[in-house]
Amino acid sequence: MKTCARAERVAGAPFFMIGDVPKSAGLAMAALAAKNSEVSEVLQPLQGWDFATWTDGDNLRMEIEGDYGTRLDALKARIAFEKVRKQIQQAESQAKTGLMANSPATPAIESLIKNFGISLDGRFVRMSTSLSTSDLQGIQRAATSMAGPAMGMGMGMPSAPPQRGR
Amino acid sequence: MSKPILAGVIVVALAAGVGGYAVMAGAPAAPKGGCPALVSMAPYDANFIAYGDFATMRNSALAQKMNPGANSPPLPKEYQEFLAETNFHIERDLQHIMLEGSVDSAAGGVVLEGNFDQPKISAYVAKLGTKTHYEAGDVYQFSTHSPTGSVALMFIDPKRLAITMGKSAETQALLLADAAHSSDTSAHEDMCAR
Repeated sequence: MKTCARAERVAGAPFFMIGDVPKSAGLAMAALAAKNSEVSEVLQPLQGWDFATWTDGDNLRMEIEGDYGTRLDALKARIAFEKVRKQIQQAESQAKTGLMANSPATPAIESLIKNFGISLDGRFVRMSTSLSTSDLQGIQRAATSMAGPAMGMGMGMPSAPPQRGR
Repeated sequence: MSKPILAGVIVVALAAGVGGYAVMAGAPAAPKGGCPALVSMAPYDANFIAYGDFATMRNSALAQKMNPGANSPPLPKEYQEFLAETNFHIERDLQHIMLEGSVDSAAGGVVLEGNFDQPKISAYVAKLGTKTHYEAGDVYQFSTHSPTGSVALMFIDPKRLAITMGKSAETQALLLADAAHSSDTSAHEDMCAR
């Protein structure tokens, strides 16, 4: 993996991940891409990826980038990714009427979709979004309300592993 | 005759400009920075590396606002026991974390950087696994009773604790210890040689 170049793109963020495409995953992706030309344009030329999250004032920003090796492959993927935006918008309308309708996390999901953006940056395609403090507090409330009943049933932290030697 | 051509050129240029902006803009980039020393320790064949700077995040304005303070729920009993035995409080003592893994080799590791009560933690892990002494330090190995291999734990220096997983967990821990000593001297040069 080109660790140096990938890490330096995102190392100013307090949390980041970088990676390449493992050989085993490459075979699975090729099989998936063979069935769908749009998936093929997004996945086949993908050589690596990075993810970062950082704070910007009261907002928590996050981005994920795909490294496509060449500018042309990145442009093709960028155009194919436009369909992702449409699918996300469809998912949003379904979420509004579905199970998430009354959840405290709903405003956060709406913000994620509203702030979603895609851009081309050389041989990279970047998708980013952000959450505000109030969105994060909504997620925190949702997590607390979900954890509450689970803790009550004794499903909180896993117990310590048994003591054993070799 | 030249006016329609000029108008056409302007329209095409504007369309290209708007199209280019639509494709290029819309997603702000993450801040760039130098490679952290912990990241430089990751093995060459790692397929993914994750890094977290808890020290910076903990002091951010956003984290201060999100802190539940007195409203935080009580800690589970098992975790309280872990705290008492190790004196390692994640929210207080953990500064940086690096997680790496190789899908192809089915191996991975985590390096924690922070303040450790080494005697207490060593005593705690000694009860759970077997200890082997090497020149580089003590390696504690824990059997997972699975074909994926074992788990090894090692203090690679007083501020860094490595936990590795896989069929060669012990070797990985020793390699991380070796890389830690190298990364202290020339992290950037080592990274850019990759």
